[in-house]
Amino acid sequence: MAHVQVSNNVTVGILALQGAFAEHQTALQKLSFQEKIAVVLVRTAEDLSVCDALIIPGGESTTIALLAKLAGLLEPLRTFLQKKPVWGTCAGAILLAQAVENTKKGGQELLGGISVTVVRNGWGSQVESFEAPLSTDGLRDPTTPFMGVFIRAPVVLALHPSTENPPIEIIARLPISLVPKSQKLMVHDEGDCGPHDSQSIVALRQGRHMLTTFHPELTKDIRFHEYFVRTCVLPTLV
Amino acid sequence: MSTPANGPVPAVAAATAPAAIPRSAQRDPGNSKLGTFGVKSGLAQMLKGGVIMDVINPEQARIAEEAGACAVMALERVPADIRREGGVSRMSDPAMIKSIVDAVTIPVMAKVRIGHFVEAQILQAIGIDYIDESEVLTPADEEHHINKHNYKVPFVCGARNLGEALRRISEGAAFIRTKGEAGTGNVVEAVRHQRSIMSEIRKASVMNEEELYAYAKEIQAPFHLLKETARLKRLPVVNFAAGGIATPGMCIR
Repeated sequence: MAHVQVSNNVTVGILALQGAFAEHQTALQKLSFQEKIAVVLVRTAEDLSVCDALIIPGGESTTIALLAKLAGLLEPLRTFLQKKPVWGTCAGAILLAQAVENTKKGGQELLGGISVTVVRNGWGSQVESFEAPLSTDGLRDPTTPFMGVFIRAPVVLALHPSTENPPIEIIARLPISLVPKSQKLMVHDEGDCGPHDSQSIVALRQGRHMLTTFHPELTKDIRFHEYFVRTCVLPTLV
Repeated sequence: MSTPANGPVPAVAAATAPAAIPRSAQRDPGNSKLGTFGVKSGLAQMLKGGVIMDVINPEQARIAEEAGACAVMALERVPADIRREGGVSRMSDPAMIKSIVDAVTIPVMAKVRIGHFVEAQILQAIGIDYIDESEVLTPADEEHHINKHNYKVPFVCGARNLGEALRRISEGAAFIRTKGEAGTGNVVEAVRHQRSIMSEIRKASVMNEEELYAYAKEIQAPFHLLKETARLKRLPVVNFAAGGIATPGMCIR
């Protein structure tokens, strides 16, 4: 594991307002790098200020956004996003998106940071929640499929590449045959890239930021956590 | 009181019990799997640190969503009213539940009577996010709970002690809440049940295997679940406090 020769410790924060932050903490603690990874549960702007990177966990995006607002964290989080790596899973991915459909009535607070449009609960209610093996690009041991756990998951509707922003890299896709057919998404099927093309994207990276619409923290597989630290976090510390 | 019966199942129950959903029907083409225990207990993990509010109409559901609730429980009447009025209380009107589902984007839960598997089938067909097999409603079966493994929709059940919690998990509950005394506004019962579960877990966590066998018998819990609980030093699924919680000051974090 000699990718990066830095000896200082890395501090990864996990936004711990609501949701599955403990699971991310367990996964990060299992990682072994040359550098020690210190984990901080972020609840205030002071907690955030010591972090080199941040994970926004799964939960309810409306609840997390409201609690962040009440804690005075929205602006510190937006400033953090300009400079440092952030990874959002599920609800976290919604908060990181540039635009969101199917928000609660009257819209909801977003942080932005990744130029994509997502739709909340894109595949339907909990009855439609599923697990499926994913084909990945860039993870260790790429021949072993990653088991994606999709719980009322958001769906990527469109990518908005532009010259001002870093390019979007796709890390994981649902095999086309496994993309659920959702009534809700039928209207969006007439894109240039063919039906279901963006909908099969379930993990992507833009510069230092990453989003996954599923929950790597609910599995014992820590390859996504390893990927985030290795490719998004460590290079920013040099 | 509610131990799974070991003897032969009465013929009438066997005839009316829902057939297990065939494995093939649960699978999409290829090998993605719907309704696994992982996605059922996973949704409960996403609710952690949040508050689930009882609501009786779409307007209340919207207020709860705006106030940051992580889910709502759709009820015809709040438990306080059910208690006061007495009589038989059943699953809420599906039309009312659907109007709440349409009004909010957060998960919507609804209650079914203990053992009433048809009410549960109806809620699953509506596409509800979580079912509460609840003691607040009038029980439909004095002895048996719903076989919750047969459903794609996850279940939450109430428990007063560790044995009861583990029996519900063995029947397929993916989420446990303390029972408390619903509708009283008195948090003492919820505290008692939570204290009791935690103390029993701590006791089990220092037992050796022989002692765990005896303890499993004593609290009428399946051995493998008790052993897992002792190893984890917590319930194997998410646990919320419920019953008599009325003010923000009562929320236990």
